[in-house]
Amino acid sequence: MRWVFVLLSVVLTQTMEAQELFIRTEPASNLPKGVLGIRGIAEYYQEGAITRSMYALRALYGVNPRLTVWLQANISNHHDNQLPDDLIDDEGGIQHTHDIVTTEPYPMIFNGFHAYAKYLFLKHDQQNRHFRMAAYGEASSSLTAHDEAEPNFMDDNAGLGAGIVATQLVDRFAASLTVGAAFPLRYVEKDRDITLYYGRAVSYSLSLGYLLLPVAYKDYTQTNLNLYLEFIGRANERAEIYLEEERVFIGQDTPALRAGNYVEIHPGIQLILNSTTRIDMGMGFRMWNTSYRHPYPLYFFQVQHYFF
Amino acid sequence: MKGCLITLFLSFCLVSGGFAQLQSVEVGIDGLTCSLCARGVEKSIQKLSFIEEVKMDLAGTKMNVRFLDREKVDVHLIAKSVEDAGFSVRYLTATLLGKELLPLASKGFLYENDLYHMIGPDQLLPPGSFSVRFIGKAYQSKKEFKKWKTSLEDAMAEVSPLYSHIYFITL
Repeated sequence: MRWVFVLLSVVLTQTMEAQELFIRTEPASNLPKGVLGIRGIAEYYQEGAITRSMYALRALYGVNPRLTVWLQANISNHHDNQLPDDLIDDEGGIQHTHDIVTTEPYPMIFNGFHAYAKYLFLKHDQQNRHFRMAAYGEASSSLTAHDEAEPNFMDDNAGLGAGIVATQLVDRFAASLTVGAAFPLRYVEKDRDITLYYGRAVSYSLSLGYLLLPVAYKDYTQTNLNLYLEFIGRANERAEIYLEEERVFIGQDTPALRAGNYVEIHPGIQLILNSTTRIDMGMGFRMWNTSYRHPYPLYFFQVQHYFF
Repeated sequence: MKGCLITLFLSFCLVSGGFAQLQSVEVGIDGLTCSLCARGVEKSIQKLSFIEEVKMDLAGTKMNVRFLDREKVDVHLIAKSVEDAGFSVRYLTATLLGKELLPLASKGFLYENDLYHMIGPDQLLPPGSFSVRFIGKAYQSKKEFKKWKTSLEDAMAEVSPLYSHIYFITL
């Protein structure tokens, strides 16, 4: 963690100017009208001896100066396409979910699609600075048997979400606040007559960005180096499981299915090449409590190209 | 009405002349802070048919736009392109060649089918090349626009709506 504070002190002692192309969250600003962005996303974490990974391909489009949309397809080996055979024991309680038996390998499967739309409703621009606010809505499909209470729309859960983003950018420095809610759909496994209701969740984040290089802009070919520090928090309700319409008891030893609350810290760096391609790299660490959706650290890598 | 018809006739005469009297514009852009964003603005401007060259000043958050000869220049489309790229126009000034313009007494001039109406006290157009600043919500920062709002409303009441586009300017 020490290098995170070193990075923060470097950022805060330099002259402020801006960057808001956050790695883990979205800024309030939109893509220019008619511009297409294609993003490849990779995310990894180690779970026992198994490396869990998620890969996604996202197409973003600036419909107009106020509206940006994206559609994303995901694959991952986070879960199987059905719940563990021994999820429920003979006495009607939880025997195990994959987070308890952490070495359960799963195949890489297609998870589904994630659609997102963001509408900019407030724009206050000044020279070298702006304050903007946007509202977003998202919808996700999933073919995955997610067996934790916390929903995850990028690849694990089907559902709907909405939220608000406020972004302030001053010269080299950018800060963004996001608050959102997630309403996951239930998962039904007809063969065994199991229904899993996931917890609704509230997400909140504070993202900080800083343009480290170039010191002075000369032309578009200069490589930009941006530093990011993002604090991402979530609170989710408990899950409920029904077997043949009978409610299954979820005990204290199954925290992944209970209500949760945590904050993570995500430092990252970003390179922008030729003013058209961005490369993001970062890690995610536990800061307060824990997510039972994944162990730590998280590793993520993204490449996005803009077609102007 | 007679005055309007004469003005329209004269403006059509100018169109047939076909000279590009509007040489270039400089646009200050608000909200712009990164090279990727600047590239988005530049590409948006380059899509317009009458553009010859766009020179972006990343450090000064402004750009200089030069126009193709014999193409009609629509200044409002330049401002719209900046908005479409997600940013705001801080100011817009244009450089014009006076000898090719048709002065309308001391209240501005006609160029192509567009009226360039001077705001404020009567002023004569300077000879040769000169610059004008565009007045209006689309061409100024909110703060600057507030200062001009009353003058603009007065000027709007003075002009005929018969032109394809009316720009309000000041020297």
